[in-house]
Amino acid sequence: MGSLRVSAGVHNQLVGEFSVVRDYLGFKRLPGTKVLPGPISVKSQMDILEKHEVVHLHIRIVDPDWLTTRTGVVNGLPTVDEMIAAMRRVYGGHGVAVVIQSVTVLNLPAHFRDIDTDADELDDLFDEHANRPENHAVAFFIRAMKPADNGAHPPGSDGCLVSAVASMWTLAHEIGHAMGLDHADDVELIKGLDCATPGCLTKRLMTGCSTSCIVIDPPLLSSDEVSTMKDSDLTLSF
Amino acid sequence: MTLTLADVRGALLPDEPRYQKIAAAFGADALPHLKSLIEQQSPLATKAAYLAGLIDDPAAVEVLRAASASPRADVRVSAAFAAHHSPIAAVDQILANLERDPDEGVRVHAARAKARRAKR
Repeated sequence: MGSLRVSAGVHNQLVGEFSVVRDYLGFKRLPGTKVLPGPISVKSQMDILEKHEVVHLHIRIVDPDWLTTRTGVVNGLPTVDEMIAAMRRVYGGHGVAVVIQSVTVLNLPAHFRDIDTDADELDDLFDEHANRPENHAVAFFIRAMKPADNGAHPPGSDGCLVSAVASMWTLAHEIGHAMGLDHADDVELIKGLDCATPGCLTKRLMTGCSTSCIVIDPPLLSSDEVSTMKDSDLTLSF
Repeated sequence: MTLTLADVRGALLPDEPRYQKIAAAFGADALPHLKSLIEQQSPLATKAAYLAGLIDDPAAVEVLRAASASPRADVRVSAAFAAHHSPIAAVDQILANLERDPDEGVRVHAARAKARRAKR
């Protein structure tokens, strides 16, 4: 049990008193419990987690610039850690933990940094470089993609691509797609669309306007969306 | 009604823009704004470059040329991706330049776009 606390602390640079459940896995509040937030024993936290669910996520860094040039969400360049923490906040608030099972920097030919989603590299990434157990999700952090989207969930895959122009919420949004969620609003083409456009659900994780428009932290998931996530093959018992 | 920069910026704002629909709706009127987004190094510059490749108008070449000269490699590679689709013959010269790009990823994707265009 102690090793989980140590690894959680190292992974998220957490020091001092912290709750693995709250601060590492992102559970904001667990239904039926009164012990969070607040410091509790690791054993108590694990007992709580046994009754809940988890998404196992594997991080694959394809473009090493993700580790060297990102200056943080305040500068419009969220880091991988910030995106994971954001995902934990929104998923954890609904009793779904996000456990990072592995982080790997892939040493691939440079052209893999930019993925043509119609080309063989996409299949190569998911078939040969994901290296994760069945029903575990994978996220590839790349530089650019074709088409030029912030992120993408290739149909039929258990994961997503995240490009360099992603927002803090793109990872959570795209894994949401991988878990079966669709966009909450329908804004296929609105001239002059901005974050204030009527119809843009900017409090929702699955907004189709832009995750950069999200105005609350964490953004909302509807009860139907949470049900879909919990029914997903990617959601496992802890 | 005149298409504005705000119109174009808004259409490209979603995480996953509907490029084909945008190209069909805006057409060549979007091109000056796309070039502006690229030259300003907007966060939307990669999307602007990609959209330019879907617009069948000779002026799209100037937008892709601006993208191919961007200091940002992600914008240059987006120009290469876009050139694959572009119906404009003059785009071949842009790809020839991108094949000599200092970034390996840009070079590889430019060469692929050139090969795919040659097969059409």
